[in-house]
Amino acid sequence: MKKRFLLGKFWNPDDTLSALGKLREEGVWIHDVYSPFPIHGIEPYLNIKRTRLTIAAFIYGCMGALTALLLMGSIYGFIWPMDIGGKPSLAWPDFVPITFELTVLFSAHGMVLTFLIVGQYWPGKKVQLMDERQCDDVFVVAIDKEKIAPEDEGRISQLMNEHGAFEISEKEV
Amino acid sequence: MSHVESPIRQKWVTNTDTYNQISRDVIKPIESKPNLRWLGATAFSGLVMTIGFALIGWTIWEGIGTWGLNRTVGWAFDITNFVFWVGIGHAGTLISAVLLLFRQKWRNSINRASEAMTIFAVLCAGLFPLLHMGRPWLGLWFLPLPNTRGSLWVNFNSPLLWDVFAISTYLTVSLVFWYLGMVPDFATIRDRLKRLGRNIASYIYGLLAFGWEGSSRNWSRYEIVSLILAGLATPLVLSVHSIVSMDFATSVIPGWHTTIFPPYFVAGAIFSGFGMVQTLMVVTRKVYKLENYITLDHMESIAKIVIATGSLVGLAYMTEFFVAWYSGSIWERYTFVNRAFGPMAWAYWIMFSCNVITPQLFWFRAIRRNMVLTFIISIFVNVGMWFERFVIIVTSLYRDFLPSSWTNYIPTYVEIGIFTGTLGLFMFCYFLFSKYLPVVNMFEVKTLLTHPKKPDGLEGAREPESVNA
Amino acid sequence: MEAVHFSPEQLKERFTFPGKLRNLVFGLIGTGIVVLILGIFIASGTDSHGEDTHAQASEQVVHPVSDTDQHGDGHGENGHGGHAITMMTHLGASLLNVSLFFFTIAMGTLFFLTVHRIGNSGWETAIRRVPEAITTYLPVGVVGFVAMFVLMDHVFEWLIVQPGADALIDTKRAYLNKGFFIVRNLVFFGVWIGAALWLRRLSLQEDLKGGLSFFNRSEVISAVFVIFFAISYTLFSIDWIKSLEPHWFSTIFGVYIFAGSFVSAMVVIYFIIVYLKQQGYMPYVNEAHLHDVGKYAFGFTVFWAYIWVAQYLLIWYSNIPEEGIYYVKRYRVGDDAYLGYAAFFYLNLFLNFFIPFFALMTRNAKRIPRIFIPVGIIMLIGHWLDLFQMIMPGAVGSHWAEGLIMNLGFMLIFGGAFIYVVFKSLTKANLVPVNHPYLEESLHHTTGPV
Repeated sequence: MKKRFLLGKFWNPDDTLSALGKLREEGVWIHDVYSPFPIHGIEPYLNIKRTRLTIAAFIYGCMGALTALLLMGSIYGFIWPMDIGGKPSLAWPDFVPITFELTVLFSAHGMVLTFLIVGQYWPGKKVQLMDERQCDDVFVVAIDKEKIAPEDEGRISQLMNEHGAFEISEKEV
Repeated sequence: MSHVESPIRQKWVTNTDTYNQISRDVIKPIESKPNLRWLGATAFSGLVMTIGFALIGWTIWEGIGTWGLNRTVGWAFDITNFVFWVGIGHAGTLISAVLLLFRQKWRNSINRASEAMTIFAVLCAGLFPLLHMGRPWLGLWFLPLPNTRGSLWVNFNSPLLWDVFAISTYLTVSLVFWYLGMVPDFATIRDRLKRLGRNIASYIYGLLAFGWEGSSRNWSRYEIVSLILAGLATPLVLSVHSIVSMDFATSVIPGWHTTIFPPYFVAGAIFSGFGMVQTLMVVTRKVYKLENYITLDHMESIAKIVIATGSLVGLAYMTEFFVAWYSGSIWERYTFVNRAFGPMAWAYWIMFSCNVITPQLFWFRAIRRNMVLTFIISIFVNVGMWFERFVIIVTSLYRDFLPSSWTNYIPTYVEIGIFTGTLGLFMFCYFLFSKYLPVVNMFEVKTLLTHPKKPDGLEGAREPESVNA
Repeated sequence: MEAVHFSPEQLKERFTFPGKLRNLVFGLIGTGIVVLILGIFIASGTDSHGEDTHAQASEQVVHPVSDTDQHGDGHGENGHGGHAITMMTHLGASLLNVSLFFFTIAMGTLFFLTVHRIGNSGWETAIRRVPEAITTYLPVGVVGFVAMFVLMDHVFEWLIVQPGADALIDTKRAYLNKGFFIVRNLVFFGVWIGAALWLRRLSLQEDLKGGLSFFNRSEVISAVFVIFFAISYTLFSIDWIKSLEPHWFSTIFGVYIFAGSFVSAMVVIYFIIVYLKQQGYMPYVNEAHLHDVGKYAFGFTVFWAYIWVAQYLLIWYSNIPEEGIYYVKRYRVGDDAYLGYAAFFYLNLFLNFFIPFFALMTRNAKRIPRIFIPVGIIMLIGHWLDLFQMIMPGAVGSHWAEGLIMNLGFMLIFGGAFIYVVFKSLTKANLVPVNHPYLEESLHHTTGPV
């Protein structure tokens, strides 16, 4: 489904932020902002909630720890007990390194996989750029035209211009 | 991340005032044709690598009897190389993860190359234990897989097995971290090559970019993922070399069994890694003309870390020596006296002078900012850290508990050839990386540009009311 | 998002010592003295008729020398029974425990200050005066160690065992002798206190005169201090704690002590900031600063656990009697006299690692004092217990319980003194270094998304 977007293009993050502040005061719903690097403090303007990936990472980590302990515990506890150097077969200090490593392994890879899936990234995904330089040096504020009244369009464009937009355009994506 | 910068802070990006210029400078080697110098260097390192691989083939064919190992000295050159390479790897993760947590902005332009270095170094490292097994094709037996060998499982009590887990976790997590960091930069390259009309190359980088668009919603998540990965990689990097040190320290051999080994190995690893970062950066910034991004201030910061970790390593040497005396154990005392004054004393003093004394030259600002001297000192550090592992391994083994077993160790040409082969492999990978991948993290360097200028050719633009104060 | 600006008047505010706090300090010290005297009285009581309850225990473990039989080469038996545990031993051991508790915290803050100065860090500028004030406790804390110079004859095995009685100790006498011990420790104290006071003086002068010269000079002092600190703190920990069990050795020991010091230093800094904010001071210190201090506390908890595992795992794995005896004493199960230590051994791990690790994992736990403070209290108790279980098996063997009341008394006295000195120092200067070149950065500090 294609949508039309009103685009305000800026050339630095500070102008972008001040324009966003103004748009926000006017109650304009901002679809997204595209930038070559993360703009700090942008989250409230876009109603971005804190990601729950941190919680996911914690859960994956717990799974890793559990896997390690179950693996070693079951093998050394029941399947194949071994007496090494007179130590007990279930020797917990020896399990610390592998438990730690598997915790990190699961947590890191689990989180990154989740990130890729949630953000829908895969090799060969078709990109639809708002501006061909948005990954280089242009900051694009995209406003969904369905969410604004047609008569407001001029005012919004004017407003973005006042805050340093060098170009206002439209694009169907 | 604070919005305000003190005026006395140095600028980490010099002579650059547009974001576009950063992209252009970094992508330049990628879009230009390979030049003769690069081809020559790559071919040479490839040749060295090939000789190494030929000798590896010989080792596998003939067995590790081709090495100079003997009954008393069962670990020598190979394990030295293993620890040496794993150690080199540590600086990359330290720069990308630990310095990120500490909000050190100078990491932004050197993290990419050092992470690449980490991965290549860990690859080189992994070869040695595999070869040392004698039958590398049975390497799969390292994994705790259900099997038909009388349900024989791996030994979870063995530090060598911990190594398997540690190194593979480290390698894969570093790879992911490195790759994730490059995704936005791949997108930049994709779009730039597209604008230049090079569609095939653009398509390839587009595949690598995973469809990155630079949406703020994604950036917000991306940053948190990077920080959490950094938070995970920080204890990981400590654990990896700690576990490597436990290969030695869990034994009962004097000179190996000492409780300071884990943090001491980590400090040594960071030290050697930063030595290698210095070596590579001095050359990279010059050859690829990246002096505006990897400035002298960067090199100074690296040098300061080299002094700090070098001194920590020195502290560990002294603690070991002191506690060997303090322990009152005759074995401990003998081993350390023998290290410093025995037949292998030359190795000990190479180690000591390269690791503890030479880095102290970096106390002088003029030396920190002199790239020729920095390069020379960094080579000393690399040599010294190789000898550190050699001293630890060989001088603890060659004087056995039984004097009748005392012996010496002399490496054969095969071992030396394999080691130089890994140097070739390392450089070969690094050359490929520096040509085809962005050597400097573009998007992170762009965040350092506090007073950008308006790019040319933007129609209808006007000066902003305020550029941030 | 926009940071609030603070007027110079707001920044120049000074702390005034509240009457309530003064009462608290005197209350603590007063109660402490009473408790201490009570403790001494009770301990002397048990001392006189100690045979009935501890006769059997003292037969086996009259003293830490119990491990000597592990060496089995003749010097062991002679060391036995050279020493009975008296009231003075308990007094000394408790004093050592408490002195170390507060002193290591102050050293941790000094390290915090210097290492941030070398690292050219800016965020901590607004809270810098707090650790600076804590370092002024150092000269006061030294009093405890000076008193130990007198009491150490009753506590340290290598002083109790006569030369010639224990061959292993004799080989170490070049290092472990009272004269050298006192001289080197006085040098350490002198340099540390000198560095701390010098850095503070530079910082205070900067308030008055401004300019970068004080700032630049503090960098050099900090760099030299850190080098000296690394060496001296290792020896300090060997001297005061490790040498209590002179047969035992571990190279990592200094790092272990450092890890514990740094964690508790962060907790104390956090507490003082929260107190000051509650009193209406430091409006410019925000959640982000607390968050960063909290992150340090969290991160170094993990570091502490790492060092703990490194020491324990290696000794446990190698199973060499000379080394293993250290842990055997600490969790010897079956010997009732040592049962307490077995409990402390595990409790120590919970207080210093498991509880803070899980409790401080989230972002809010570090930013909201209501969550952090209870955890911080647990961590401080953990630090005390950590020192306790390191000191007592070597100093008083299985008789750890008898000195507890004295220990509490010393805790109250030194705690009162600590609070008094730190807050008194806070009154003597602005709560923020007004001319510090990184101050603006610190006032606008945010920690970012995580």
